[in-house]
Amino acid sequence: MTARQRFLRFFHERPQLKAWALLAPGLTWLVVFFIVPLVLMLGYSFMPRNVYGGVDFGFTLENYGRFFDPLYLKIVLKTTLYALGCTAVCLLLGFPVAYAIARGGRFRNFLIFLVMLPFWTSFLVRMYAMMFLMRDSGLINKTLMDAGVIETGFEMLSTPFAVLTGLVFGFLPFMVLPIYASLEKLDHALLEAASVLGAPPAKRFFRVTLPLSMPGVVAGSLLVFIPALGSFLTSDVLGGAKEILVGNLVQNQFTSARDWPFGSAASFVMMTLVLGAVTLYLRVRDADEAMGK
Amino acid sequence: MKRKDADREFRGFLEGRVDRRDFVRRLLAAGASVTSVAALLEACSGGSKEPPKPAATPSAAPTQAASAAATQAASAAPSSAPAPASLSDLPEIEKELHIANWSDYIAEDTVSKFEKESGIKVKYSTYESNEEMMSKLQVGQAGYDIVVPTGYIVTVLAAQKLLFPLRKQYLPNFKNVAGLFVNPEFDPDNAMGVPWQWGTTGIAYRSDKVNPPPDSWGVFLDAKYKGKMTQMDDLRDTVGAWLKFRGKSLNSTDAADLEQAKKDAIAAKANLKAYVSAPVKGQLVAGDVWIAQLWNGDTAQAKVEEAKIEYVLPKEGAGIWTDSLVIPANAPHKRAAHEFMNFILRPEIAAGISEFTGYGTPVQPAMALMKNPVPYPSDEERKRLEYQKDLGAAAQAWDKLWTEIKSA
Repeated sequence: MTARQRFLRFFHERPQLKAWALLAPGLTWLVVFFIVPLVLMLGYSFMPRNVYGGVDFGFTLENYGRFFDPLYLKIVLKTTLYALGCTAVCLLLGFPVAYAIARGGRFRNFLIFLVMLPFWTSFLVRMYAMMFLMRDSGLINKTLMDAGVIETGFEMLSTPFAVLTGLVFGFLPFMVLPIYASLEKLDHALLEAASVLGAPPAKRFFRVTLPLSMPGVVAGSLLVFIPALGSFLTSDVLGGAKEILVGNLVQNQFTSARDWPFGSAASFVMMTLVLGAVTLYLRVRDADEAMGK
Repeated sequence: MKRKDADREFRGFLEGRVDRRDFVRRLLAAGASVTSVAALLEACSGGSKEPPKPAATPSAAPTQAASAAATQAASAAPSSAPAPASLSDLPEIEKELHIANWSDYIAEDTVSKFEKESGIKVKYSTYESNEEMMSKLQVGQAGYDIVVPTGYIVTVLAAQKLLFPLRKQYLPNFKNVAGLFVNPEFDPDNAMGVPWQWGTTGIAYRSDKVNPPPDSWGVFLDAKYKGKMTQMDDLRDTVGAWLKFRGKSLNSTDAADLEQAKKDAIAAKANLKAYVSAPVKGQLVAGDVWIAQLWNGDTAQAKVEEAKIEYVLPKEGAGIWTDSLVIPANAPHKRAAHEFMNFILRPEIAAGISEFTGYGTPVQPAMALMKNPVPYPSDEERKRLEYQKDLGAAAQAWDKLWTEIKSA
């Protein structure tokens, strides 16, 4: 028996060990680069800030206490509204796109490629490109003014509209791809059955297509909502930094304020809120489904 | 005509953003790799018709990216720090030197000239914020021999015993330093640092759009220029300006002073287009912004593009800053670091550096060698200028104030 055969047989006879061996690289990576920093941050969030910016050893709940100031809670609320708005717009724009691609025949792969194309450039560069388009003497205003459609330029930059547009632009692909995946798997026989049984197109869509694409809608919404909640670049670049979102608040703690404990505490509060909301949502949905069946 | 406009605007856009601090910091924050950014910037600049101006071009980026990559690889190797030398002397000049500096903050040929002359091999890496550099020093594993903190950060680093006191006997060229930069408040007797570049934070404006010229921070309260003005996206600079406006210290920690500054800042916010620091240059050039709180050096860079941009130090006073070269306490090549410091204090070298950065040189005899030196403030102006100090425990109160201003 060659060494290779012995090696293969060794693992073949021990399926559990094989599973662990396959898991090991990814698991190690996760532990070292995700779990360990997370635990460190959790530790920091309970320590007092050092005058020079690091942390002092000790235990305090003050960092969490500070976060429940109305000032910061208002920021959480505003950020949540932005994230919800972004998710809603992405859903409205993304669903038809995904639907069209799923029906796109031989152009399917090319269309998917187009959806992925923005990922070839960094998020920040895309945000600056938007800024270039939207500023007072930017491409949009200039074109409209040259064409005589408007006399003075719109003020687009540094408005909530610009922030929302930027967020939607940034996260739309995360909505399209999961919805496309679930629509693509849709069994045409079901639609034909609905037709045969006399359902008009609208009814077919709402009774068959939409319910069956719900997993994609939910996945897409989560993929958009969660990063939108943590974004800080968009409000800085397109919002003119005149507003502060939770992401900016956390970023400031780790940079200009040099207050790592408060930044860590704020991150953990947000993580808990998001995890809590998602868990609750999934529970309710599972319960609904169980009842439905 | 149109085409040329677009070209100019695109280049202005690039140059506005290709700023050593804001742009790259944000890019890196967004997760872009140093090399990809450099490649992108180079690709962009290659597309424009004229070669971009040296002061704010991305042309240095590729080499810096390469050296940054080299540094990352090198810093993984264990550093062999020699035992600290006696108080007076250092051993012989080492054959290596590791410098970490802000990006785009040195002339392209400074390092190669130094290498050729001294035979010391230089490893050069860059960072984008004081905090980034500081956290590396605090961890103690960076292996840097020279870093370039802003004034009050020198105080913070020295207080944490992270710096090596300079041995002046190796710095004969220190005599070239202008009086303004000798014995600064943040570093008594220049015990820790050699001044590198300096600047002020005042008001840049378009002389063709703003009449009469502004002379006070109060201009930001004037609704006449609503939507055409910006202040810096930095709590120290913006809150500091409003403290100055009321005749207070820009380092004030007094609750009443800060409350008043907050009120003024919020009143001004209604007139502001945005809080934006260095990238405002492009908008000034394009005419989207007429009045901007900005550094003098960045204003000078914008003026190269648009001659009608002027700069003023408000009558109530403004901030002045100096970045210094310092040696970390655990630097492995301390004597070579002194050699480099002495080298950049030579007039012709200092002039070359400031010609590139657009900022002021603290080396007095270099002024005569430059085409457009940033003049030293007059005695009268000097009285109005104040250095930032570390806020210590008051940093939390300041940060909350900033959050309140932004949420208002």
